Amino acid sequence: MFKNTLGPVSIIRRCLSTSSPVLEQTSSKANKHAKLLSKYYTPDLLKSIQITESLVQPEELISLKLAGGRARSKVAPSNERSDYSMSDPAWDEPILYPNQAGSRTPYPPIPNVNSPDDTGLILKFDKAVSDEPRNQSKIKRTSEIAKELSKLLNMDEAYLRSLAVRPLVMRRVSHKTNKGSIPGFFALTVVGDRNGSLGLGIGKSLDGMRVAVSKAHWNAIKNLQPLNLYENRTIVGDFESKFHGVKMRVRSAPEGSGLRVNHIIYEICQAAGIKDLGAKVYKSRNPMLIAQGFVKALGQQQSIEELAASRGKKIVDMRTVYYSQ
Amino acid sequence: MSLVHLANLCAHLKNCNNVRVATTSIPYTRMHLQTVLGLHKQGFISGIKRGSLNGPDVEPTEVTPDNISSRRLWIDLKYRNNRSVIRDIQLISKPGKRVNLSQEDVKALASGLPVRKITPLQPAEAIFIKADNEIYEVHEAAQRNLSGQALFRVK
Repeated sequence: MFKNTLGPVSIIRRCLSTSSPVLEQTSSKANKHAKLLSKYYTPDLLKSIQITESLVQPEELISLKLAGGRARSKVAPSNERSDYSMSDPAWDEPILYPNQAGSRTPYPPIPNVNSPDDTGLILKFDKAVSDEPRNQSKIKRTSEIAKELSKLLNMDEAYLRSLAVRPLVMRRVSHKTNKGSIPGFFALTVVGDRNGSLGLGIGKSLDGMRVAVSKAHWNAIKNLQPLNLYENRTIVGDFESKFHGVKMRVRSAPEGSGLRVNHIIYEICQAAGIKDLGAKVYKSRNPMLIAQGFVKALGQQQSIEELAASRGKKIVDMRTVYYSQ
Repeated sequence: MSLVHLANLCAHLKNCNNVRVATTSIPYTRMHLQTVLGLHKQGFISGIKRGSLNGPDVEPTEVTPDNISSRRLWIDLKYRNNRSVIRDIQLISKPGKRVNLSQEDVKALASGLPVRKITPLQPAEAIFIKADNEIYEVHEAAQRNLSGQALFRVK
């Protein structure tokens, strides 16, 4: 395109001047290029670069670009008349000593002579399909529990995996046998979807606390029950509950109050999705019994709609209907 | 109303609810009638009938001095989803300690505030006040600017 019209050096001159209409497009590009280079090179270097660039024939450049990313420009040997029978110092592969070339050395690695009798022979057997499962332990991970229980209970696996889990009570118990006492492990776990569903489960094991906690998690999911909450944040009204020696008074709270409750009740509320509550526990404060008593009482609460239906009354939210909020 | 009679009434209703009795009879007096009418209006019981000691009257019978001793009020109790509709019924004024409320107290109670030792009105709960020898629900009493004795609460 350009070869027919002008020689290499004159292109620069042309590029520098913007008067020629034929080269207007290229001159702007060349100017841009010169501007870019001028940021990084001194004027002398820039000039030399420009001279060398001008020596590149456009067809060569185009064919190189067309060849793709892996193309390499063909650079001639330094001596144009060489027939490759003699070694060319510019072209000979430099001797790369194995320890000096970084990671890409063409030579084999130096053998390790720390143990000369070691032939370096490595025996590898084909791993057959193992009869034992990969993890034979009784500790089930959340994903496993979710998978197995989703089939058993016909529930969504992703839902079961997303449940909030909290072990409330972890005790080391004594298992009395005729030969003496064996230590056992007890765990009480609460599980909830933070949106009105709650489950409490007990797990016991002789094999360790983790197994007990895993069993408790399993049992808690099996005991999942929906709760009747008010505005999805607190209970309907107040209740008093007595479970064995635990007496508690639980009060609903207005929005923004938070959970002003016993620490066991707090964790259960977090899992259930109760945001505002007040509670006081009297007499016994056994954590296991608090958990069981509270969950039992929560399950017995009726929703405001059910209560209205029992009395044959219509329930109306004053805020939305009267004050239209 | 005699608080002793009211206490007997509340206890009787509680006992009946525990064993899932369908209908029960209570003494036939003006105050008893007003109480159960109030309960019926609030939806805690399903029916009230005049009757005798044996059962509700099939045909309407006039109350005369001859049959007054055998007259009873028959109440039909309500149950839903294996639970009684009357979950709890308890006195506020006891025979040993009467609770009298002023107009402001009645209005406060109706608004859901606690008044002295009376815990606030719970959702789906009714409180009955006796004003001028008539029995009103707390909201009704507040509307009519009444003051009186807090009798009992039902939920």
